[in-house]
Amino acid sequence: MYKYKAFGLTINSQFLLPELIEADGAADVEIVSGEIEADFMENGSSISICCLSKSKIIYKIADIAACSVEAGRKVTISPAPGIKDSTLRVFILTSVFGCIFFQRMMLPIHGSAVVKNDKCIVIAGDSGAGKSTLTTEFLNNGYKLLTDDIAVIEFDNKDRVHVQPAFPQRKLRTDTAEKFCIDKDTLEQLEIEDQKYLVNSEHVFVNSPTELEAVIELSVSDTLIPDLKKLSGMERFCALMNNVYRGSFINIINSQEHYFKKVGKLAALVQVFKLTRPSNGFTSNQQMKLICKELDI
Amino acid sequence: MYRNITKETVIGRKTNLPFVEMDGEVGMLNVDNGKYYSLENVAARIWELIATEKSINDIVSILLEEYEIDKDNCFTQVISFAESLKNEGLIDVKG
Repeated sequence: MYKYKAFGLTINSQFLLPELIEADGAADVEIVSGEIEADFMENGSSISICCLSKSKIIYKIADIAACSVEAGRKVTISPAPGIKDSTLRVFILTSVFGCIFFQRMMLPIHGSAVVKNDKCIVIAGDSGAGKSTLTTEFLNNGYKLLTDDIAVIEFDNKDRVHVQPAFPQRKLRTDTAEKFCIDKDTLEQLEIEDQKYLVNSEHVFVNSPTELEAVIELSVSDTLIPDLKKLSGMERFCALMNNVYRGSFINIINSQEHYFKKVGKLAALVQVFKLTRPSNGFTSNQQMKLICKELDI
Repeated sequence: MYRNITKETVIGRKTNLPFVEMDGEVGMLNVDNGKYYSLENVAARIWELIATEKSINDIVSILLEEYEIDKDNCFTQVISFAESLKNEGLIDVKG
């Protein structure tokens, strides 16, 4: 068994996950290899789900793997024959952890987090919004990386909000994790991207939970220059709710009330901004400067 | 049984309905249909008032003290708002 820590969870895994930080301690999550016995409905989609409940989720992605995730604790994975290790790892670090988070009632936001002076900014937004580019801009300007694609939010007993460190690797250009879920055509692209655009970020990685300063929701529009707007009241709630990682799980596992309250609590405690950027041109430096000016950092 | 809301109707928040408050706005979730709602300004104030059951008469007399609005208009709007809350399953209605 390999032992790691990521997203605040200690993980024992039969699969080598070299991007994760090694750690000791009692395992929160155990990942083993094994057969998955289930009647997968073939529905023409690359993703088949045959069993979904809060305590047990079983599904597979064609030609990649099937998995069973129980109680956010016990994971069994049956890789498809001939699957590349790197592709399987993306499956584990996105799809499998997606299940684990919701079974454990954790709050994952789809975004990266960068750190300066012991505080972090979460850059959220849809795939293609420009999260990776803006994250790179921050890293090039002395910020450190806390997580690349999934920001797990936690509240301490004094209602301070922290983001959990993930692992020291990030993806450039496209949001692989999101694409991963869509169809087989993009999976080939993923493999190329896997070799080409995965960037080791050990030298800039922060491996401790960090207080959350603000969430930036990034989106593309037909504006000429980047624009930053502070959101008020329920706008904050809606922006955060729309950026929950794999948010459709909330309905699937019937935990609307829990997540409504949790996102509501987050919206009451943090600043949220909407950053719109033009679709053309490299404006990430301007975007960063807008954020720094607004937050006075 | 359908009853129109009148000046005498008593309304109160549905119990166990999860809601959040921020910057004077209220967001709520109807667990039965999974829909989110958001209330602002006077609507948020009415939501605050019906934490304990109140008649439309009571609500209107409080609002008349707090807002510049004429009485008839206030009744019309409060009743119409209460109908919406009722139709969306967010309040309990008595009498």
